[in-house]
Amino acid sequence: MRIPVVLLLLKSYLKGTKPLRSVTQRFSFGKKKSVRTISGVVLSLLMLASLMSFVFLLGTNYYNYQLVGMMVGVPHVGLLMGAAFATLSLLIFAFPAAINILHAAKEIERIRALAISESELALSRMIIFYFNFFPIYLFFVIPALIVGIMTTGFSFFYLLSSLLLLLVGPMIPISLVSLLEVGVVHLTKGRRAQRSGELFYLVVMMALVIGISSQMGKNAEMTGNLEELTHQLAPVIKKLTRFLAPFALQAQGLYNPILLLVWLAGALLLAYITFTVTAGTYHHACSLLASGGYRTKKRRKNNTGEQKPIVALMKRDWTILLSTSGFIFELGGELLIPLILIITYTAMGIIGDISQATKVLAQYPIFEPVVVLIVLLMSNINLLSCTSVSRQGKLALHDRLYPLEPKIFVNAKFYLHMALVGTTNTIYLLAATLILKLSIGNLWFYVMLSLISIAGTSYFHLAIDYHNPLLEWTSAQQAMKRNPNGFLGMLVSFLFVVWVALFLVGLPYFFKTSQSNALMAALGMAVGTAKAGQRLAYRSAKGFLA
Amino acid sequence: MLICDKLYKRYAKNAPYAVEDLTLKVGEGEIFGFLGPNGAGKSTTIKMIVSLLNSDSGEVSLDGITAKDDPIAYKRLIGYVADEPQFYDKMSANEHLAFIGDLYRIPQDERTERISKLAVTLRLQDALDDEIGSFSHGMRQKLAIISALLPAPKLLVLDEPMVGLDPKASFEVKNLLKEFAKEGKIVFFSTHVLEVAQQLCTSLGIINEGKLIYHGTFEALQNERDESLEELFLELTEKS
Repeated sequence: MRIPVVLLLLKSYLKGTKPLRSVTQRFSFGKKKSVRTISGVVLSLLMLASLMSFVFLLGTNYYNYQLVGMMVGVPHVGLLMGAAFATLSLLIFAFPAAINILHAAKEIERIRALAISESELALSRMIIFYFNFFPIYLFFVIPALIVGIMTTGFSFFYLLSSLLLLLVGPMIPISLVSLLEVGVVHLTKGRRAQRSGELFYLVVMMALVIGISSQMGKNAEMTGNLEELTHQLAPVIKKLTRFLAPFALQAQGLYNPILLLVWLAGALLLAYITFTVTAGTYHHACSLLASGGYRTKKRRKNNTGEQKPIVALMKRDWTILLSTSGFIFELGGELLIPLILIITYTAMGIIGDISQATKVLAQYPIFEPVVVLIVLLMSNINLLSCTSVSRQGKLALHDRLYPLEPKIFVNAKFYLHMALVGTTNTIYLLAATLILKLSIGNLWFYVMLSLISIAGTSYFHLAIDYHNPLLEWTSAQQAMKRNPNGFLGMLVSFLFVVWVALFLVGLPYFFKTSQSNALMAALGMAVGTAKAGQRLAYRSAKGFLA
Repeated sequence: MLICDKLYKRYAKNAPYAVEDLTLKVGEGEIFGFLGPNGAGKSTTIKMIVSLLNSDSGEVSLDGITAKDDPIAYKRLIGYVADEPQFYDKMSANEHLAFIGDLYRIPQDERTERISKLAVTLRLQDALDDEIGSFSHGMRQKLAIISALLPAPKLLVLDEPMVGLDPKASFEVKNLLKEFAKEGKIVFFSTHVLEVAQQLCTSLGIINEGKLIYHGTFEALQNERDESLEELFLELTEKS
C-alpha cells in the first residue's frame, strides 16, 4: 500500500469538499459584505452558545455520576459515562452515513477507475469516515475529561492518556459501524442496502437504549436519606460498571499505564481487523452496490390522473421525502418522538410514576398550558419545512421554469407540513388530554393554538430555506442534519414556542389574567405572527423563483 | 416571435461579460441553431431565454410577452430541455409526466394522447412505468424532450439535445423538431455538432466570447465564401 497515494486521496477530498469553508459560507446572509459578516458572526455566536450550553449540561451530568461513584467506592464513573455516551452517539449517528461515505459516495466511482489499489481507497474512505464523526466524539468526551481533572487533579500522564483516548476512542464505534455496514451490503447484495440496514439498526439501537434504561430504572427508587441512598446506589453503579466494562477499562486507562496499553491494543486491533475486512471486500461491495441499483428497476402503475398544481407539488415533495432513507428516518424520528418516549417510559415501568406525579401537578393551574407547550415544542422542533427546498437539490432550480405563482410552491410545502406535523400534534394533544385528564373543554382551543403555531413556524422555516437553500449536496445528511437552515429552523421553532409561552403562561403568572383571556391573547398573537411568517415566506420564494 | 434585445450578463462585478449586447430575432416556423465554442455564452443565453437567469440589462420577449412583466404567461409558452436533464429519480416517467401535466393544467385526455404519441415517436413507451433512476442518459434525454413538448409550447429551447442519443433516436428527434416548426412554432437549440445544424436549421447564430458574430441563414453565409460550415465556423470564431 502506498501511503502517499492515500494522503493524496485525502487531500483531494478536502480540496474538493472544503468542509470548513462551506459551513462558514452557509452561515452568512445578505448581499452586502458588512451584512454577511455580521450575520455570520451572530449565527456563529448563537451556534457556539448553544453548543456550550450542551457541553455544560453534559459536564454537570458527568460530574454527578463521578460524585455518586465516589460515594459508593467506584471511581471514574463520570469518565465511563462520557466514553459510553460518545461511543453510543457515534454508533447512532455514523451508521446512516456509513454507506454514503465508505462505498457509495459519488466521487468513488470516478476514483475507482484510477490506478489505485483497493486497500489505498478503503483506507482513505475509512479515514474520511473517522474525521467526519471525530467532532461528535470530542463533544461528548471533553466535558468528561474536564470533570476528571476537577475531581482527581491534573497530571502529565492524564494529559497524554486523554489525548490518546480522544484520538483512538472514535476508532471503536467507527470500526464497529464499518464492519456492520460491510456485512449489510453483502447480506443484501447491494439491494436497498442502506434502508434495510438502517431499519435493522434502528430496531437494535432502540432495544439497546430501552434495555439499558429499564435495567437502570428498576433500581431507581431512591430515598432522601444519604446513607440509604448510597446503599441503594452501590449495586446500580456496580452493575453499570460491569455492563459497560470496556468503557470502565477506557476510563481507568486514563490513570493506569497498563490498562491504557490493554485498551489501546484492543482498539487498534479492532481498527486493523476492520481495515482488513473493508479493504479485502472493497471492490466487491462497491460492485454489489452499483449493480444493486440497476437490479431494483421498479415498475409501477401509479395513479397519474389529473390533479391541481398544488396537489401535484405536494405529491412531488412527498416523493422526495421518501426518496432516501436519510430523509425518512430523520423526519419519521422527529414526528414520532413523543411516541418513542411513551414506549421507552412504558418499558422502563415509569409511566405509572409519571401518571402519579401528574395527579399532584394537575392541581396547579399552570399545568395544563405547560403540557400543551411541551407537546407543541416536541412537534415543532423538526426539519420538515426548513430543509424542504434544500432536499430538492439542484432540481429546485427547475421550479423557476414552471408557470405558477411562487405562493403555490410555498403553500404546497406548507400543506404537507400541516398534514404531517399538524396531524401528529393533534393526536398527541388528544392522547395527553386523555392520559393526563386535562380539560376536554379547553382542548379545542389548545388544538387551534397548536395548529396556528405550527403553521407560523412552518412559514418561517420556508422563508429561511427559500432565502438560501443548500442545493449542492451528495448525501441526505448534508441536506438535513448538516444544513445550517435546519439549525436556524430549530431555533425559530424554539423561539416561537417561547413566544406563545410568554402569553399563555406569562400573562396569568405575572399579570394574573384569567387562563381563558391568556389563551385568547396567545391565539391572537400566534395568528399575527403566522401571518407575518407567511408574508416572509412568499417574499422569500418570490426572490428564489423569480 | 422570439426577440432578444441587447442582452448583457456577467457573473461577477469585474468579470468579462458572459453575454454582451446580444440582439436576435427568431420568427415562427424557424429552427434556429445556436453555435459557438465552449464557454462562448450559449448556455447563459439559453438560461436567460428560459428565465432561469436574469439578464443584467436588456430583455427577452416572446410574442410581446416578457418574463419580467408576466412570468407565468411567459413560462407557459416555453418548453426547455437542459443539457444534462435532471429528474427526481424515484418518480416513474409516467409520474413525472403527470406532474408536468398538472403544473401546466393539461386536461387528462389531451395529456394521455400527447404522451402516448410522443412516447411512441421516441420509442419510450415501454419504459414509462419504470423509475427514472434506472434510465440511461439517452432515455433521460428522450423523457426531457417529451416533458418539454407535453404542454405544447410556442417555443422549444434545447441545450445540446443530440448528446447521448443513438443515431436512430437522433434521427427521430430531428424529425420531431421539424414537425414542431412546421406547426408555426419556434425551435431554438444549441449544438456543437455542425452537421446537425447544417441539416436541421433554417437560420443560425454564432456566438463567441459572449458576442453574436453571425446571425442569418447558412445559405447566406455560404454564398459569401464557398466553404464548408466547419471552415466558416472556425474562421469566424478565430477572427473575432
